[in-house]
Amino acid sequence: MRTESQRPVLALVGAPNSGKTTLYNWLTRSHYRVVNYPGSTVEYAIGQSAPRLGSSFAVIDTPGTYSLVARSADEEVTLRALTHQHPVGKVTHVGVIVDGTQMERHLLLAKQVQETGLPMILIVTMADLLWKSGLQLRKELLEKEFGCPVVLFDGVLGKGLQDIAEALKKTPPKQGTPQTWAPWTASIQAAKQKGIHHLVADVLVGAGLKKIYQRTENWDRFLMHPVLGLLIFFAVMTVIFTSIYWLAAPAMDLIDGTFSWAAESVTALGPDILLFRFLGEGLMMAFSSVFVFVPQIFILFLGIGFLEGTGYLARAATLIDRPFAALGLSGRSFVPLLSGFACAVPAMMATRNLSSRRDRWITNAIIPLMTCSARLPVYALLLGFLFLDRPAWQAGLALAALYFGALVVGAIAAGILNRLIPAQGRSFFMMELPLYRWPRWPVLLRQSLKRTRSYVERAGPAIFVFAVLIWFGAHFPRVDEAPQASPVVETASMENAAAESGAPKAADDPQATEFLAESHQLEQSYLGRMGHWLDPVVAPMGVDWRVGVGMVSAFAAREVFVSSLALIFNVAGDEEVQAAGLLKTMGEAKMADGSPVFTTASVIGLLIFFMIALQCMSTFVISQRENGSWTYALIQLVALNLVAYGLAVAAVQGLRALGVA
Amino acid sequence: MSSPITLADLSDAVAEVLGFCGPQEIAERLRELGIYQGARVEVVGQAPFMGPRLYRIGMTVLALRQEEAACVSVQPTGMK
Repeated sequence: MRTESQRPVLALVGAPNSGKTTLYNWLTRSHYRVVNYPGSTVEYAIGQSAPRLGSSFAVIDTPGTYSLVARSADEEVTLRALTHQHPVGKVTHVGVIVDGTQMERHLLLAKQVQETGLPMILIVTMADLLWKSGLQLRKELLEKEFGCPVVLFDGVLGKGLQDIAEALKKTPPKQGTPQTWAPWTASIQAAKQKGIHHLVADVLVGAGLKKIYQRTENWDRFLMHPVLGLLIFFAVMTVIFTSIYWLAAPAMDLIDGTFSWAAESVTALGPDILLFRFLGEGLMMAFSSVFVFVPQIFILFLGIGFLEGTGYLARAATLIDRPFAALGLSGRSFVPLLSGFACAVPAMMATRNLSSRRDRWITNAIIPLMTCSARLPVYALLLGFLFLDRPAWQAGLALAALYFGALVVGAIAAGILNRLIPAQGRSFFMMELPLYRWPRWPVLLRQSLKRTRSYVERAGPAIFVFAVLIWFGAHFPRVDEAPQASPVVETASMENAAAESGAPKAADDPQATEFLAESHQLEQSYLGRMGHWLDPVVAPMGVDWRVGVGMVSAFAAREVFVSSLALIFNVAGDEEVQAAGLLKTMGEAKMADGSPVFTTASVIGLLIFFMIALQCMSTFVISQRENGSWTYALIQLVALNLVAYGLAVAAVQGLRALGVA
Repeated sequence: MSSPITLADLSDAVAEVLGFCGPQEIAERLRELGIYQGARVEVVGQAPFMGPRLYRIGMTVLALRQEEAACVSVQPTGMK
């Protein structure tokens, strides 16, 4: 039997847009896992060759790179991956992916890999496009030049996989350690480039090349037109953006409904037993808050993957580069910021291919300001209150204002950071605009599923742990009596607690009093006490400690604000009844001095707070990980929340001064 | 040579790359993206708000900002 270390380990190396991901998916048939490079935030994928290829080997995907000289966090990994000891062993072969239509550039990387001394296989992708255009590729010339097997690969039909497996069998694995590659001087690079230019002229036979780029050039006349192109850009983004919400809604309802049902069923097994209530309300709902955003994240990845696959994404970044440059960023930051409208977690993960560290910092700093989907339930509730019995378009307009407001705050923040952070090198743009292609749906779907899974694995634990913590905070220390008995509880809580744990009492009127007891429990809990401490803090926002509790529990996930408000204001019932009931109760809620808690001013204050505040533990955790710094994540957390609080207070006090209650 | 013409000065023409000027870092990146001495470059478009210009070198289309394009000195070879 062969052991892990004896099997060939093939690392795929190639430029962005070279068709590497497509090949990787074909080779592994998605039997792979994403791992973190030790000590770095960058991930790469390790997979097994698909069984139908006949031979067994491991495949390592590396981030796209133009050269072995690393310029972004992603590119650094590629170089290190070639010498690193992976879970499947060291790399024995390197598969250099060369786009058949871009050989002049991509063969340069192949030359660099050749110089490392690692056994190499040259894989020419987009072979279908070459054939279709009537071009012939004289691969024997490439084989002679690089001294390695050359395989043609067709990403549409998967033709050439068998040849790769064969080539791997025939090529003896690496002997000894590879030579580390020494970067070329400018003159050597120029000489190599000229050599490759002549080589490619010999290798490609036929006159079809012009046809290939002509098609792309024709499309670009519309899509990159200064006016028309911009209109199409906004139309495309609107479609992606609205489908994040509309397409995902049924699936989100299904997930939410299923977990709520599961939670109720589990709780019903033993309504008086704390363990069952924890399993139901605590655990099931924690799972729910992890999974409820999965449909949106999936659609986001699918949309971005589609744009990436067609070649449009690079053009979108180009179209928007000039306005971004005014804020000290580049058009490359566009995709992460767009992702931020679904969730900040995948958005921060998407900043990895920004080559400038400074761009990454600034982009990550403002990502939490993008209106993520967890804010929507909160906005829905607060706008519902503000525009009760008014035409729906008014609430819609207010919602649009909140989105726009967040963008303005983000732009201001980026502008300020741009001045504060000293320029370290330049902000590059230099974008390659790939040829337009129709992406393969199976590859796209698999890739989106993988990315979604990676999101759940990254963000899931933090969301989950915090949701469970909030549950404990709301249910402990235990209070066993209804509100009337509270003095007794307070004077003899120790004995009571001991007595309770020994013999749980049966509730005499469970239906009616249960919710009251629960609300009382929340008030006396750690979370409730924290809310009381917060009273002087939230008072300038025109609200009392109960809203403070809601704001603290929203750190599990922003939308938790709604359910904890319902709990603390005694609104029982299922979701719809709860929402209607909550609006009514909010209207009636009074502060200690008898004035209403929720007024036009205080609700506007809350909206402003939620628009800006970083109330999300998973974002905090990912921010620390992606920027590799607790200081960064902490400053971000404190700064965004302070600014949110300051602006909310200013708005409330300002409105009051103007006579708006 | 009195103030050489760069890609940034090229608004609608074809040119041949003579070499690189400006920061080493940018020159290296441009080389990786497929711009090399002797290459034929054609201006094919421009992004809105006077944004990056689009250049075609062989089969590759690149979007470059003005300051990046200014690092490539060229010799105009005619209108397209």
